[in-house]
Amino acid sequence: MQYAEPIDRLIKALSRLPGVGEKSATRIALFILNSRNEYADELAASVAGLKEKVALCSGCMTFSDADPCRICANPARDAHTICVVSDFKDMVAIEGMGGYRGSYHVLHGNLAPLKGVGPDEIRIKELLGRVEADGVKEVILATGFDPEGESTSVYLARLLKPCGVKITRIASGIPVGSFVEYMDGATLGRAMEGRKEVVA
Amino acid sequence: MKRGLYKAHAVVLNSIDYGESDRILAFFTKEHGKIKGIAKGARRSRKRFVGNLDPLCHIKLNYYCGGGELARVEDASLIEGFHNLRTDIERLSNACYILELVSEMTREGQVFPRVYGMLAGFLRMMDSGAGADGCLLRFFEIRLLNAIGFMPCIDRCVVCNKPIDGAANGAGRLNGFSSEKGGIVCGGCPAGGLLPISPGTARLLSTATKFDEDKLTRLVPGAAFTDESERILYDFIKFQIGKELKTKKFMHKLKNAGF
Repeated sequence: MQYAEPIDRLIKALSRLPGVGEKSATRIALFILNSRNEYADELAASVAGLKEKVALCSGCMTFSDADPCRICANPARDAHTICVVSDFKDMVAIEGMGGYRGSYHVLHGNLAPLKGVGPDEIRIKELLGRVEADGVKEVILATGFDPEGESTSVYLARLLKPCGVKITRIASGIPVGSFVEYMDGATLGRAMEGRKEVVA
Repeated sequence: MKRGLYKAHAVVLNSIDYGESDRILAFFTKEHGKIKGIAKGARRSRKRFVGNLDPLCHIKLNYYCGGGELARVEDASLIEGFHNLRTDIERLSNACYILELVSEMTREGQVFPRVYGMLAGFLRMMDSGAGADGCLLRFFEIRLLNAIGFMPCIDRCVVCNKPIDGAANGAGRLNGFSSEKGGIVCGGCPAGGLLPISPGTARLLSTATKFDEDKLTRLVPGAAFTDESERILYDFIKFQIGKELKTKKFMHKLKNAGF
């Protein structure tokens, strides 16, 4: 069906969003059309404000509406410990855990040979600058355990070694609440490698 | 390919996230050559695919071919994970280079069981620590070109077909390598834009196509081999596929970054 031009334009714009197909985009567009004017205005202002007000924190490179971001500016957080994550979503997941009190560094990607993403295309220089300048004591490498995440962590470990900081890697193995019998060989191997002494 | 369920031995060439939790994959299989498929829920499911669909994985694959562009991946079990390749950025980039090379040099529907065996074999060698000096990559390149019918002419002049004799002058003397002509050119034949290649490099490349795979590490290259063979083979490959390889660019970036 041929929609009016503004509706068609909105459908096209919405269907570019991740996970939104043309049918879902049409449903969302018609929902907005049928909603109150205030809602449409609020939505439009939120979208416009997102790009205007949100920028990268000059310290940890996360998305923030203030520079430095709330985590970097918080004196209760340990600025000498940096948790390196590939993506903003990973940082949100670790923050959601609630147990980590250090600071972060968001790389905005991983080294990816098959995609041609090299060291200059992710925020490695900024991390190196922070480690050299800020008296950092520990860098926790919390990139993923896929080949790209693994190789990024190995690359960073090699790069940061001359700085003389403690470099650690988050553990991998059997997820909490899982059963050994259902685990694959690679996961079990990692779990065995990373075993810890039980203090009774 | 006919509709139906298929079983295959495969190496995962590439994987791209698609939608909320799916993955679009490229495989090189022993039985059916290169295939592209979609694994529904691959990023979410811990049971069916857990870590088995990452690039480099050597797997047993069950897939359904429905007549569309993409096969539907039903199940995958790991044969070899090549985990050592993931813990070193240089080894990983070398391994990814051969994946991209196979992906770009072959088409869907072309069946090359020998290429499948080579791919798994070279990944195994790299995983065990061989190939740090780059020679293994050159041997892979020349063997791949040979296996898929793109072997450049390196034992005689590609223009006049005369054998190359190291001691001769003019015709019979090795003048250089031409990607456009598809091989080495002697001093007696006209050709422009030649890349330098020594008789030793040409001989070693030719020998590398005849040796058993597991004995390749015994070949001892001369001092000029690494640079010369890398330059001529990549130039030839680039000429054949008509573009730069992403992994090659990555390797340059890594080199520029001091690695």
